[in-house]
Amino acid sequence: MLTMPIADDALQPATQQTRRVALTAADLPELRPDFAVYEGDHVVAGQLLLRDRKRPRIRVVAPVSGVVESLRYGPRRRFGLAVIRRDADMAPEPSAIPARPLRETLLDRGMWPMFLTRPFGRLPDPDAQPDAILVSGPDRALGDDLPQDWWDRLQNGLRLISGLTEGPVLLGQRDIPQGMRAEGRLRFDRHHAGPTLAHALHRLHSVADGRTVWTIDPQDVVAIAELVATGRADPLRRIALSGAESRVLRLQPGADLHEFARTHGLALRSGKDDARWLGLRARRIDPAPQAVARRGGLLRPIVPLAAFDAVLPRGMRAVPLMRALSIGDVETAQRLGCLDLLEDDVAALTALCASGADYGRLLRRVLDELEAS
Amino acid sequence: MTGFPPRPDPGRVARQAQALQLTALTLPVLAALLLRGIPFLGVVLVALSVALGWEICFAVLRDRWVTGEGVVPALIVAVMLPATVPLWHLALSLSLGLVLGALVFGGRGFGFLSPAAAALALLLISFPGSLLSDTGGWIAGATLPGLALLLWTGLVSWRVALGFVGLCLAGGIGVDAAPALVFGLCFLVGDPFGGAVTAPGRWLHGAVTGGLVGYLGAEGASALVFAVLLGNVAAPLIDQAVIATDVARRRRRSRHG
Repeated sequence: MLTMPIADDALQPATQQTRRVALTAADLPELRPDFAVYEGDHVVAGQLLLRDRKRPRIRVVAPVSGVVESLRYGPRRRFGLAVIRRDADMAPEPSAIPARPLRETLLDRGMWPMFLTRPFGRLPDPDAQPDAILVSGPDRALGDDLPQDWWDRLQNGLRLISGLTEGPVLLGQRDIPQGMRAEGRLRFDRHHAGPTLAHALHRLHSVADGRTVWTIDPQDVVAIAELVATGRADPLRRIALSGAESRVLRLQPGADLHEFARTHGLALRSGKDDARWLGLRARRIDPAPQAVARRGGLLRPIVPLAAFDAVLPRGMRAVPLMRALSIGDVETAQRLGCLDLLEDDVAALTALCASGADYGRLLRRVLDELEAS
Repeated sequence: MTGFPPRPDPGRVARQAQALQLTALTLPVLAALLLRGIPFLGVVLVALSVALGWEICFAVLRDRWVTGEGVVPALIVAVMLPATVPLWHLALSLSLGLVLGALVFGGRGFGFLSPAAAALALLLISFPGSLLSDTGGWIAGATLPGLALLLWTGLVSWRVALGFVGLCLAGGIGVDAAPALVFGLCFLVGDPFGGAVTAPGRWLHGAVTGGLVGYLGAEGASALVFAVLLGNVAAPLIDQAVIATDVARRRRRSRHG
């Protein structure tokens, strides 16, 4: 979920291609890049941009054709940013997919980063097998006007990805039509998806006590099905824009949201760089809440309101977790189920809590320590 | 937040918790002033000075800011003590209550005790024969709007309140004894910083406190004060039990899932 400051003005037509598209560090967590191109190079959509230095089978490809405007490292030589300025549309020819395991196809086509592990939120190892795959995304992103065969393609996609695991494939989406068949290891959960993925995960296949689950957005699964069937996948995704005028947009992941807001006459509340690019897996844009003025240096207590519990999955206790994270109590945080969570899942707590703690950052520290142990 | 009745944004409530508690206190404090007159004013002044004095002390020692967080417990204690209380009794017990109940932990909200309850309990123990004031009648009536406000914003947990009321009734506290407990329910039992923080824990904490009021026998405020204190001490244990149940249930689900 991307939180982004957009004023609540009337919004425009559904599709917008922005001139620039970027991949950010959040899209490729903890990845040390081996760049295959230089700044200034001209690339074609699908062309190799970089590999994971530690796991070279993981390839990251250019999302659009154009000129590589910027390639940057982040801290500790991790991947930072790659910006491509779109060119005259040079879409590559759809090429037939050779018959080979889906894993190889996804790695080769740069679609491996669609998956993220839970716990820890990393790109999965190319050879690993998760205990389950969770397919879930914000309900509102799908909108009301899905084409007829979208669910058919999703069914095909689910069948395809079930080959990646020996465990269940869980589809957590409201309004799954009756026509969908829960065949094989596929399981449906028709609950409301919950504000974040952690809700479905905790309910369906918690990893708090061990095991690994890969998560993927349902639109990405549809893209996989399209790719295998036709050789070409739709690069755009449906994104729910919430706020006064909530609607569904079709945007390219990595789109330049500053430019998008400008061309639609929206005012931005802040110019923060990391809010500029639509995340690879983001399917929501929320107008950011009013920035809370925090009195620097003043440590305030956590006011234990029952309303905080609604932010976390049902059965997870918010205030004990907030306390454990605040003091870096790794054992207690693990016991409370923090392995089910990633930064996005606790972002709402940071906004609500009066203590001024950044729970996303605190959680990441705890997760890093748990990952290392 | 969603739900009925519509609730205010928890972020704002959390940031304005102290202001909301002070708002809820204004009417009862005014009622006490009208009922008891100038002596009450003296009690309030001493209480506030003690509270601020210790806060400044700790602010200097610990390099913190002065937030005025001791004002709420000071006013609660001032209302619950009779206007004839020896002022040095008040000063001593309030000092101990604030320092040991809150300030050594880093302030109100970082500890696990209600400083007001601690101060009152220390007074009752240290000076046998002390009596607490009657907080029934007008003071109880003046508390009700504040109680409604705190319940509505979530600062007083409805689970704690219901658990408390339920066990009080079960323990035989009659309707005639009820008004004396309203102020204590709102500001001692309902203190968000002294209670349990899990939803089932809140029920239990309220119930334990209510049950203890019945069990401790003495009607009126002194049983309530000790019940609240014991409830505060039990609350972390209650929360741990709830969490242990969560963990066991989660592990059972993973084994079968």
